[in-house]
Amino acid sequence: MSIRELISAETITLDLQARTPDEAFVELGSLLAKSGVVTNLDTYLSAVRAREAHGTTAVGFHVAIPHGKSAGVARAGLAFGRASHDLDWESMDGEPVRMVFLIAAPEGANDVHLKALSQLARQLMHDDFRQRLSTGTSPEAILEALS
Amino acid sequence: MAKKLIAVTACPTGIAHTYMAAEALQKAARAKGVEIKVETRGSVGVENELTADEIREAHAVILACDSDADRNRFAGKTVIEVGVGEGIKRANQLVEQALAAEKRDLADEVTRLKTERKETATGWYKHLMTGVSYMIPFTVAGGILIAISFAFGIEAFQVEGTLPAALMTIGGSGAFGFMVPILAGYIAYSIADRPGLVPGMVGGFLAGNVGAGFLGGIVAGFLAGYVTYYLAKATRLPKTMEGLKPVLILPVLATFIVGVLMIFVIGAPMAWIMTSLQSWLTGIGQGSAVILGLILGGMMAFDMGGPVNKAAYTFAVGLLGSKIYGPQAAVMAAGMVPPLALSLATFLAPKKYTEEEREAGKAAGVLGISFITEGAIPFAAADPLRVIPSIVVGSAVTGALSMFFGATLRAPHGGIFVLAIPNVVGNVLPYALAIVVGTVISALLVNFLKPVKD
Repeated sequence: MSIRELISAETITLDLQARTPDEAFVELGSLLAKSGVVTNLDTYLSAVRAREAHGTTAVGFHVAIPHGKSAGVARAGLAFGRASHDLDWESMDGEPVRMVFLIAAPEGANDVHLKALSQLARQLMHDDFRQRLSTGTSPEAILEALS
Repeated sequence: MAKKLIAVTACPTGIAHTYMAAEALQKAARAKGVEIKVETRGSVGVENELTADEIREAHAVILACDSDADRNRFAGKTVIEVGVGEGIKRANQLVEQALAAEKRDLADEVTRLKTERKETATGWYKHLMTGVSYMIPFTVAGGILIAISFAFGIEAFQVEGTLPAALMTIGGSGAFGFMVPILAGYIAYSIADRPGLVPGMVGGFLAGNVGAGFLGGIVAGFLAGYVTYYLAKATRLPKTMEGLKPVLILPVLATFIVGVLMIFVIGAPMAWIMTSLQSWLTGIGQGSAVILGLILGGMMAFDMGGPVNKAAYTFAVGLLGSKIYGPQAAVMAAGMVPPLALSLATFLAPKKYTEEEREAGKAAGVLGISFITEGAIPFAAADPLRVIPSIVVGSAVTGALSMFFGATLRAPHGGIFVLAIPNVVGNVLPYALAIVVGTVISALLVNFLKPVKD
């Protein structure tokens, strides 16, 4: 499954308001709920928080990829948010977080979200990919970069 | 011939850095026109696994790992080892460094022959050693803590709420409780990878529960490993459900099969073996004291916590109530011999033991003088056919000598700590001699039987 299949224009925001990880979970989680990916936001968010408590998902390069697997998820999905300010998020390389990918996986989906994560992680190593994420001016441009 | 590189990336949570480092290394190599294969060990499991051929042909190895990379595979090769974070940040330099490194051919060739021989001839040995090496720290930690509890006085642990009681719980119920499950779990893990761990540990736990001891644990480990391995091969699922196999189907099925076998097939005869041995001992008890000591001694060393050992120990403790103190002396002396002997053996011939075993040998000495026979289990589990006969012989001699000297013991436990208490041990000096003689015999015997490690 490619990343592109998990995300749509309605789960992308280029004007992320959140200033903390938790605010980002709620903000992007609500997008996933609106699009029908997440059916029970509370149970899904508690899975995401539990995972984050286990270790930061801010993997460096200004990107965080929080994720959660929960029965409150109808199908695998992905939301993307970009902020014009730094988020208060402890990252692995000490650089501030500006972009957040929130991944949702349904219970029993085994490792579909992990596969998506690993693909995302690999792409993050390419300058042009990061460039396109941070400069894309519309959700469509972000979708373009992800496909 | 163009230089080929190989690399492994891994991190404990395995969400992203494993793959970021892999991608960074591939990108760096591509830019230099060098071929590289990167094995990733992340949350999805091992992907792109390196083959023995690829390892042999590789010019050098880059390990960008924060967790286990199974690095024994690369023995003899030039290995550049860094954390996974370095793999992301310094991929270019790592690739340059690897290309500039000298390829080690001779050492490589020798290791290749060795691993080839080891893999074909003794695959089971590798599984056993995996289990044993994970078990050793449990034995050492638990044993030392129990010994410290004894140092407060041999009965001190019976007073609830005290430090000695806590130490006994931590070491005895805690660390020792995990010994056999860990042994069995990691034997199975070595055979069947992650899905083998649950059936292995559960099987090992049940082996302890049904009184089958560490030998039962070894059986459980191999059983769990091969059951899981063949189940994994035999079950074919549609692609969409394939992911359920390692988390749901294999652990549930294999654990069920192994558990049922442990309880009904392995467990059922254990109680029977124990009671029949005990009534047999009662018969012998009427005859020669020295023969009884010989048999009790040998039994103590035979399975260290299994039915044979328990039968001997329970028999002797039972006699304390009837004011017969000789067999108890024989049983404790014989139970001290296996760890003492193996400790001595590792000092006499260090080359015949792995580094881990030499370290465990030092601890085994402390456990031996404390009558914690379990200190010998890692050695016996790693090489049962050579170690068990050796310690049985020495322990039997010690048991017989203890009875011959008329030594007596009024305490059910305590090791060297009871020798200092007046009137607990009768005929102390000959008693100590009996222990020394058995220890030396077992140590020499086991070193005579063991080949030198290569």
